[in-house]
Amino acid sequence: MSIKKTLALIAALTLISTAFVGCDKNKDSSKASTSDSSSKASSSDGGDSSSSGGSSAEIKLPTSGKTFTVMSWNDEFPKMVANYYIPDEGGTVEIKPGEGGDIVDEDGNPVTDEDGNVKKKDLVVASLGDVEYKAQFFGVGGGQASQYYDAYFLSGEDVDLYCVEADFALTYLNSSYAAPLSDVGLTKEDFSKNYDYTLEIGTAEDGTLKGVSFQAAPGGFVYRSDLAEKYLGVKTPDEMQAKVKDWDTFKETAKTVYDASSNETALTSTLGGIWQVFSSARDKAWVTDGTLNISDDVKNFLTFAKEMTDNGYVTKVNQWSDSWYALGQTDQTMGYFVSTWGLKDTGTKNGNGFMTDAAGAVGGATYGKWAICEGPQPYFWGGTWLVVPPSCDNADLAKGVLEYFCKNDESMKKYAEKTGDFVNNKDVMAELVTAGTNKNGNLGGQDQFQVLNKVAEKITMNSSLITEYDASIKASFQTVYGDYVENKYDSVDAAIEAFKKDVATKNTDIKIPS
Amino acid sequence: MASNAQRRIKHVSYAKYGYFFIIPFFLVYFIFSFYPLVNTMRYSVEKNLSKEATIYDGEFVGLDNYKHILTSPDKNAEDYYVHAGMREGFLRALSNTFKIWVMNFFPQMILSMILAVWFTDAKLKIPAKGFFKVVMYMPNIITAASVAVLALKMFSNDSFSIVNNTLLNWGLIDEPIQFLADMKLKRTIIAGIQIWMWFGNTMILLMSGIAGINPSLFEAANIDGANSRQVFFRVTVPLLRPILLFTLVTSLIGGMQMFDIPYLFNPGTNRSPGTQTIAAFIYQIYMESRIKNTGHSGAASVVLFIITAALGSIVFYINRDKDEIAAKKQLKKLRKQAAKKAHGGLGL
Repeated sequence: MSIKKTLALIAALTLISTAFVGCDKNKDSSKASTSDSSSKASSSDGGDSSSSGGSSAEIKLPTSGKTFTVMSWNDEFPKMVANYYIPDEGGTVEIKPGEGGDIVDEDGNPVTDEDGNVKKKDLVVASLGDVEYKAQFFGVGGGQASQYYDAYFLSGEDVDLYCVEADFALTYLNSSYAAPLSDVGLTKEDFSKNYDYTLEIGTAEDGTLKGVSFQAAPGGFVYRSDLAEKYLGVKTPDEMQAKVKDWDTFKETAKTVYDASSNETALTSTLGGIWQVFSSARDKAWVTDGTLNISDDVKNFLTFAKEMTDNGYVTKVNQWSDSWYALGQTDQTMGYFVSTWGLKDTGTKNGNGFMTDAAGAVGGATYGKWAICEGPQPYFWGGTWLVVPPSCDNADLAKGVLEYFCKNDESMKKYAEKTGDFVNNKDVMAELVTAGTNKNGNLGGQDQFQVLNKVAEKITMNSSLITEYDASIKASFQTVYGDYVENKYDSVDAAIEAFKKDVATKNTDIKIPS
Repeated sequence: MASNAQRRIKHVSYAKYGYFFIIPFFLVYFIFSFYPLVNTMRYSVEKNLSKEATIYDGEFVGLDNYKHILTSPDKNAEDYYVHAGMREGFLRALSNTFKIWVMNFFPQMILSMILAVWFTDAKLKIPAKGFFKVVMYMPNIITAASVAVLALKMFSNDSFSIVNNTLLNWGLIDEPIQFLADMKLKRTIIAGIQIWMWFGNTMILLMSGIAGINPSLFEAANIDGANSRQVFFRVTVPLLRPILLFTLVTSLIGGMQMFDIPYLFNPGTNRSPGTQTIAAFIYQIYMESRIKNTGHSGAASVVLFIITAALGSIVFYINRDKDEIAAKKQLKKLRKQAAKKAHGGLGL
């Protein structure tokens, strides 16, 4: 009998203890995060005093970490560090495709590809001296990054350098998760060759530089050169530019193409791309002084978008959807608005940008049939900023990576030549443009730098256009213009009203004027 | 004379061990169900979390959050857009939820009922019953995320989706059908997915209900010459009522909280409000807001809780066993009369 009792007691205790296992974990992690935040507070205090004391280029954050962790939403930058920086510093690198575990969505369910196989991450094994390199990425789009980042930061795990995208850069730059770059011994002077707008965005509210970008992201209009010749009779990018030099001409050209192709070919692929161009040219940010602004550009865009959709001058495909990629291999669209990151073309299977994928990869259906011109308005789209968190414990390596990709001419030039990425260095880009050696296979050998450098010079980037509200408000606006072109609202004003209400429910702390 | 040991045994009570066994359940319940429930109610009367989501400084705002959801907004008030946005969003979500649930529930019941009756009918002798049951239950095992991806591959606005591509190739349509843009069509597809996912489950439930009916009743009906329609309406349905009621209530509760398919059946992150259910509304005003919108989503959750509870009670009230209540009343009446008689008797 006593055995039975004991057994019952043990069983009950086991059950209870399982209930507490979760609690224990929580306690641990909360402990970790509190100690973390206190260390953050102290280190950011140190940062403030240093910035007031002038630009002394010494490293203030610890350099003793055994693991150097670079975090991003996708594998682009973590792999860049593994493929370029670490070998050049004499480290060892091995990349094992598909061995890094499953890619999961927000709910933790595995993401599958078209054939129903679970998508896998690549495993990056690398080390530099006695420091191990850890590529921490989630395999998601930049728009979803913050959910993963917040959870990762709260878990208190090691991170020494991380990437933020233009849409949500300010949220992190102005948070306790960003240390001034002076803490790793770098100042604004070090980045004097960067394009100005990238530095403006990287500067936090308190005036200290907290993020630098390794690429500038001027964008152009990429079009199918064969279709352009067939329907418009244009042979060079300059002739094409004349056909899309402003929005009115753009619309006329769209009509010509649509009619000439017997209603098959739309001049451009998505409204999202057009909005990207419009939004760079806005005269006011979404939110100023805690109040929402609806500028005329927003209303003009709605009218323009409706007209384009109603006439079939733009396809109904959604940006970033699978169809968006598939479209590039058909004659249903003639062009995409794409910025530098989409034009990377290595000529091999790996490391290509969006346009090469849309052409059906190297040697694909429309590979090599594209060309680029400036488009109706100069604009930039996206870009990735690198931020050092106050919890960084490999400050020397973080500094090294930042210098390698954002400061040193030699390494930046090497990277640009190899990948066709538009590096954030005016001198290097000018040199590359003059040399004219860059040839993009997907653009039929055209040098996109010639075009994009012209755009970059024209971008009068008003850094105040970027606010921490952008990611949320952009999402609301996408839904609204999507619904507006589907005739769900009677008028532009009705669409704007719906937009205001949606923004209000998701940003209860900003004022919305009637 | 009883020995000491015997006396002791008499006083041993085993009841307390029962409590030990149920303690884990109550602990888990209090930590993971009861506390969150109470906490949601607390959030619903407090201001939204501040920008730093880790710091909680809930400020009591009374019923403001409920006011935003339930009352009509004042055009001139400072909080007009929050108020109007919340109210319209909630009402739209409520009506979407109902529409999708109705389109899903009734066809699903009919389908499951027919299949359940066929599968349990001894006269029909359907071959490979087990195989069909498994196959029909199968969609329920697939995760909603995969089902949504599957459905998105089949239905989309452009000509790349399976259905549009096929119809275009066959020349049955000239333009791709706007499956995701036409909200009625989209809701119908969602309801269709729900039916496909759940009819197997409902069928199994109904079959177990039918199996619980005394077979001699069916035999008796057959001997008396009842045709299968009469057997169905006069024997099966009345005796199946408790199971039908159970299915209705669980489906109603599940339907009011419908989230996964309506939320996931959207291209990319462009989630148009036409198919937003209440649960998705709550999730979206919380997750997609830059500062965590705890107040309004808490209030909306509580309102959803009340609506579900009320609907559940109404269903139970309508479906209460009227015969039994009438019988009870009759009994009461008889007792009273008997008592009266007794008193009267004494009086005489």
